[in-house]
Amino acid sequence: MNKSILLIDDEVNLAQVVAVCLESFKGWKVTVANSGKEGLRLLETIKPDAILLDVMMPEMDGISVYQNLQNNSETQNIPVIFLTAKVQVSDRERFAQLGIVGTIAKPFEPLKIADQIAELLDW
Amino acid sequence: MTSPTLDVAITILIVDDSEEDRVTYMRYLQSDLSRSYNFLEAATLEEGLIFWRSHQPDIVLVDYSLPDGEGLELLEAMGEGVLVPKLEAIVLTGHRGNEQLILQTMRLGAADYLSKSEVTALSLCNRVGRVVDHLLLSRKLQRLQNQEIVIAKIALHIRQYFDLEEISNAIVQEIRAFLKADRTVIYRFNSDMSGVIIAESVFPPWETCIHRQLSDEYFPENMGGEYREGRVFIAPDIYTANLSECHLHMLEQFPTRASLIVPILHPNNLDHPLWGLLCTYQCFEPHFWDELDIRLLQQLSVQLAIALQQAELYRSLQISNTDLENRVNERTAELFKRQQESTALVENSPNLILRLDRQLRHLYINSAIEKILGIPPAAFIGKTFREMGLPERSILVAEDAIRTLVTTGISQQYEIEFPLSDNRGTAHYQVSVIPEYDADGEISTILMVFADITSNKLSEFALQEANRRWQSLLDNVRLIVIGLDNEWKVEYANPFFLESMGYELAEVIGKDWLSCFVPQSEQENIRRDFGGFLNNPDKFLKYYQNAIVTKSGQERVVSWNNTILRKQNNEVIGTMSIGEDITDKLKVERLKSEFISIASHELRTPLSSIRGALGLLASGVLANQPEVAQNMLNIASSDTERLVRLVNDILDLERLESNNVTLNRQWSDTAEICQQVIETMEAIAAKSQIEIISNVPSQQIFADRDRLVQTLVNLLSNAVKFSMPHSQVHLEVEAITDEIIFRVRDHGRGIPESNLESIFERFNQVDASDSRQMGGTGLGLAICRSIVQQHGGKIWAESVLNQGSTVSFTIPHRI
Repeated sequence: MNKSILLIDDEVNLAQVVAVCLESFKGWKVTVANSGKEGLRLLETIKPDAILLDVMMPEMDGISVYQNLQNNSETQNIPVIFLTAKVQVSDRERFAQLGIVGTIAKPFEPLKIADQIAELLDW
Repeated sequence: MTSPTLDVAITILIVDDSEEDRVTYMRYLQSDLSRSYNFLEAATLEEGLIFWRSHQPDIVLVDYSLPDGEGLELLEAMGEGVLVPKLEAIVLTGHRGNEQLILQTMRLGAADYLSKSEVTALSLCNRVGRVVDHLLLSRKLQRLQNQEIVIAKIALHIRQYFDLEEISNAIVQEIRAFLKADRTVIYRFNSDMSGVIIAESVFPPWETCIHRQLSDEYFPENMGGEYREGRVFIAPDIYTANLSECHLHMLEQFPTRASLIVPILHPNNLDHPLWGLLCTYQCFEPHFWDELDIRLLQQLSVQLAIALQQAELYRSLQISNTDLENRVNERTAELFKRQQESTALVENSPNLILRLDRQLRHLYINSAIEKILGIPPAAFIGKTFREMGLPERSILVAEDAIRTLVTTGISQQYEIEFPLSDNRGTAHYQVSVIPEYDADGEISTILMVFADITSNKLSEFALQEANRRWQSLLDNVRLIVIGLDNEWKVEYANPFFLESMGYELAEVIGKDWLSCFVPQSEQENIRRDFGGFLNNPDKFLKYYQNAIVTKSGQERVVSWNNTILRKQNNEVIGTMSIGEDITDKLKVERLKSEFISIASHELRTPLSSIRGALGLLASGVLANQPEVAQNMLNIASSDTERLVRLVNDILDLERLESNNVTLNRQWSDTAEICQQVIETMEAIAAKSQIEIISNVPSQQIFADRDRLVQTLVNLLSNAVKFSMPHSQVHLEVEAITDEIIFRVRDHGRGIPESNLESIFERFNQVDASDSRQMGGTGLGLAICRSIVQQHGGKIWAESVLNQGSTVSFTIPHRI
């Protein structure tokens, strides 16, 4: 059965490219949300196998979205991977403490991103 | 011992041609046991005369009729040269009762007349005895008289001479001559009762024993024994005088046979009355010392004591005189030396010293003047300052000081500078003006001392200059300078601190630094970091950074460079801190770091899309999905555009903010500028169905036209982006006194009040995703602000939420 992924990123173009990558190489079903709020709203109706979450977003950033997910029993067990340009060591340490599965850096490797995600999720 | 006078043998010369008679007479006379006689016999007149002349007999018994002449001739010879002779002679005659003969005998001075027929033992002894008595008496009288003369001579001598040695010598001389002794000495006791012979008269061939030290163990034992009581020692023969062996031995050394010794007693010294001994000796034969000898010696010893006393008085007088004289000499020498010294001091003093009379004429001036003015001191004597042509100012100051001195009697002091001779520069003097009084207490002369304080002055000037420089540095340096005492109280604050923090000096001095000028949040840290005390050198931090509070309550971050202030004894008295306000620098750094962080994010994001899209296309995975592939190409293309814009804007802003862009200012017409802007925007506006409305006024403006167009396009495009379709955007221009105001007004959703200022910061759009969706870079307004500021204008935003926003900026008229 095909895996489903929710991708939350305010960068519309980037989200489209990532979605195409995942669908083309793995055949995963990708749903895109262009803001944290939109993502949380979508989660009320869909139950993705994993969430790809951008960190730097206006209004509600990735950290807030993640905390929201953790506070909701419906969503708290969904594995989350950060997709971020913040790749400094201090950032990675901070993210790791949150309990996320892993981080994928922007700019990503288009041919490898699907494999990286599969590896992080043991798919 | 009884008087020896009667025991003296009388020599009687019997002149008689009858041997029988002579023997008879001698037998008769020897029968008188109370006297002892020696006899000389002569049978003729001639023989009698010879004996008389050679032996000087005491008494003559002469027969009237002698074979070779009358006995009266002998009487005549004896009485020769004497007016009224009184001869110790008795005439014997066979003629009885011859009146004429008796008369003649008496006239010749014979003592008695005796008829041979009347001569019996008794009559002869009586007659001779009477003559002897007379003889002895007259001799004694004579001797007493002579003795008085000797004593008188000595006394006179004592009165004439005060020198004890001289008197002593005279006394021994007189005594020895008078007593016909072999030796007369004065022996003086030392304090240990040994003694020395201090005066001597000795008859040759006896050797002198003057200055001989003699000691008799007998004397020290009993302090002179009976001599102390004035007893006289009389020894006609030392070998019968019952003397000790050693005493004899001592006397034999002189030598001595007979001695007569009287003590010389010191009349004023009761403890040691025995001063010495007056001794007369016969060296070879025993000698009978008669009463007169003894009395003479005693009397002379008294005279000697008087002389002694007198000599001592004289000597002590002489000593005190000499002492006085010595002291006067010493004083005089010392005075002279002092005077020499003080003269040398004054003469060689580096200070100029002078004395003036009341008419201000020089009485004295030391040689320092020659070094100062090159004029010898002598030239000044009797002249005034004015006559010497000294600088007018120095004269006036000196006269003024002297006038005050004379009026008040108080020493004056002033400082003056004086040009040195030969262009050696200027010397500085501290002048003391000192009054000198005469016996009446009037100021008679004035002493002036010019102390050279040039080097002091120069160092004082240097110090003042150094201080002035420091002060000037502290006053003008664009750094904060704060001095604190050990109690953290402010002792010093420089003008820059006051100016930049908005305080008055009085609000700062003496205040507690931490509680008044440091934010509460930092006070504890500072106390901890400095170990609680500012004067704790172990925990003293040279470099420190903390915030301080301005008067208006703002916090400014200051980077301090601290120094401990110490006294010369190393005691810590406080700190001096120089601080730089690094608030703005920190802000710039923070902004820069944020900018880099944001810029890198903003650059990475489109780059990620481009790389992803192109990577997918290149992989061929989309070969069977031409629509998706086309979409990927569009995304890559649009994000490449965005990347180019972003890079351009960053570079543009960087150039503007680093002032690397020089404005190309020129006169333009605002109407033309607005027309150009509207033309540029028309297509975009039309696409968004927005109408641009402009009053398009015609105003001459001195500005960089391209930059002005760039700014207005930027603002208009923002307005268009955030406006609802079918709404209007206004571009208005208004000229007022000093400047021209441009306004871009929309009817969009508005800007929250909290963002009205931050929107002009880089990447600080209200909603970044909005901006990106609208194709913005997040740098537009920052670039606008920079351009406006370069023109000397300002830019600001006003907004009412959901009703619209207005962004305005001013461009000043040409200055």
